[in-house]
Amino acid sequence: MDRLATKYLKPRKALSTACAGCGLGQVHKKILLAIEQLGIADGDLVWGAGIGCTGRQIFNTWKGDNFAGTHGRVYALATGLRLALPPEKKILLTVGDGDAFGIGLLHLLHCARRNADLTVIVADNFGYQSTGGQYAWTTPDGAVTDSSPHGMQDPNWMQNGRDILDMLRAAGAGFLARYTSVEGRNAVSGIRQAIEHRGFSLVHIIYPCVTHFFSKAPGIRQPADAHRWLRDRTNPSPSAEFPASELTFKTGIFHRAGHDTTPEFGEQLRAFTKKIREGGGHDTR
Amino acid sequence: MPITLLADQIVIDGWETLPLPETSADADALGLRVAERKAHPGPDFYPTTADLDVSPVVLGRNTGAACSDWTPTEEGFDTEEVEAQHKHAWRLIYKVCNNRHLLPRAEEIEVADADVIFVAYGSPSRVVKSAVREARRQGLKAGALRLRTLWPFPDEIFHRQRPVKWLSVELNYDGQLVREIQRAGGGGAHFLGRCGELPGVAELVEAARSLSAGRPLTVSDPFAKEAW
Repeated sequence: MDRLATKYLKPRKALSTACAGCGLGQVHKKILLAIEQLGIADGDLVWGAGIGCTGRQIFNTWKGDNFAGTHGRVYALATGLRLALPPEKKILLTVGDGDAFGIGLLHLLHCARRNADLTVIVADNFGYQSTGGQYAWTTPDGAVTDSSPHGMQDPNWMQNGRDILDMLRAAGAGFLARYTSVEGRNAVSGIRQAIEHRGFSLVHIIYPCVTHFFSKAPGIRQPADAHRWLRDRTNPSPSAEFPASELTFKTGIFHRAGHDTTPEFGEQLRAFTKKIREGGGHDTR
Repeated sequence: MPITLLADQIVIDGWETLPLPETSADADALGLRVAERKAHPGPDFYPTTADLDVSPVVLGRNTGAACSDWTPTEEGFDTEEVEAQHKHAWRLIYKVCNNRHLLPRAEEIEVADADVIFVAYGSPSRVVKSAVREARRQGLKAGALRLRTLWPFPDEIFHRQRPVKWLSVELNYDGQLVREIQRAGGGGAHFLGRCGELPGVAELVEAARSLSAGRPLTVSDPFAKEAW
């Protein structure tokens, strides 16, 4: 069995039930590598999962404590847990694009606004793949999916001047990064820095779904070709000449806040209640 | 164990003073005590017994806990097997039903000699309590049941009452609770509903007076289903 799996995962779940050729395992492995580099033990981190491919495949794989919330609620659960757990205990969430950028976006924005100390890894496979491949909020423009048979007709969060990370930044997120599953060390390093960041951090990682998205939209059925498609679009060189309408991925750390930004949610609330308890009340002006 | 709290808008939007203890003396005065939460030690974290108060999923203790709203297997892993859904649902149903005596059931108010018993849950139950007081003052034999757990329905409390006329007081039209009262109370259930406002003490007293005298409840027009 894989060394990291032996070290960090429950044996029962170490062999993933994901489809053959799925890129989710690569994302999972990058997270575990970052955890290993940080020297985090299973008791130091509580792992939350959303729903969909990412949620269901990764839930309860972690040897330590696990939790999950359906359809975008995991950020709200994690915010509460942040207050209940000791500050040094890490909280990491693995969620999908539909969960984070669609159904649970409001919860995610509020989580970023509060600057709760937790790390969200959004494993993005371009749509709702676990339910059969319907389009979602990062599905590329014009992509044919189960629910967009004539091409994706809905504006997404990734193209035409919109970037979901801009919105999260505006909401108050302190650390934002984007990678694709075909990247190696730089992605691991980004995840590591996200976990180290004190406050809300989010890493958006795009990975291929061969079963639904790739077989329908670009018409690719070979996993290797799907990974190549993604690799070609990850930080493409100017000579690659992708048309402006094509979705490509500029990866790396997108935003990192300085120390003068919003205080961490748990820290701020503890200080606030301490002040009130000591009889000082708070300044209501 | 999933618990559903049914609340109405008054409960949801209402504000009340909630005394919170600041010292252990305050806590003693309020009759509160701190109980350390027990947790299953793991690694076989999902107890398949019906033991109470041993939660398999207290997060943060590194017991390998798995807390989700998905159906778990005996080992705690989530499963989508149909048989597992049935098994899990029946386990929870029997766990609740077999321990129903531990659940707060209902508050009984002046029911011993009552001819009319109001039944209410949530906000209307306070008006109902005042209505019982006022009806008694006017010489009517009225009582009330304030239900605290709706499922499992407190049938045993209904069974122990002598034959009475039941009046279900609800915040809706046409009744949602009244049919359970008909079933558990052996018929003779009447209904008085209000939407967007609480019933008044006076109209409840009048309703009790009508039912005691064997008269139908008054409605605003013949097609209204606000009382029957």
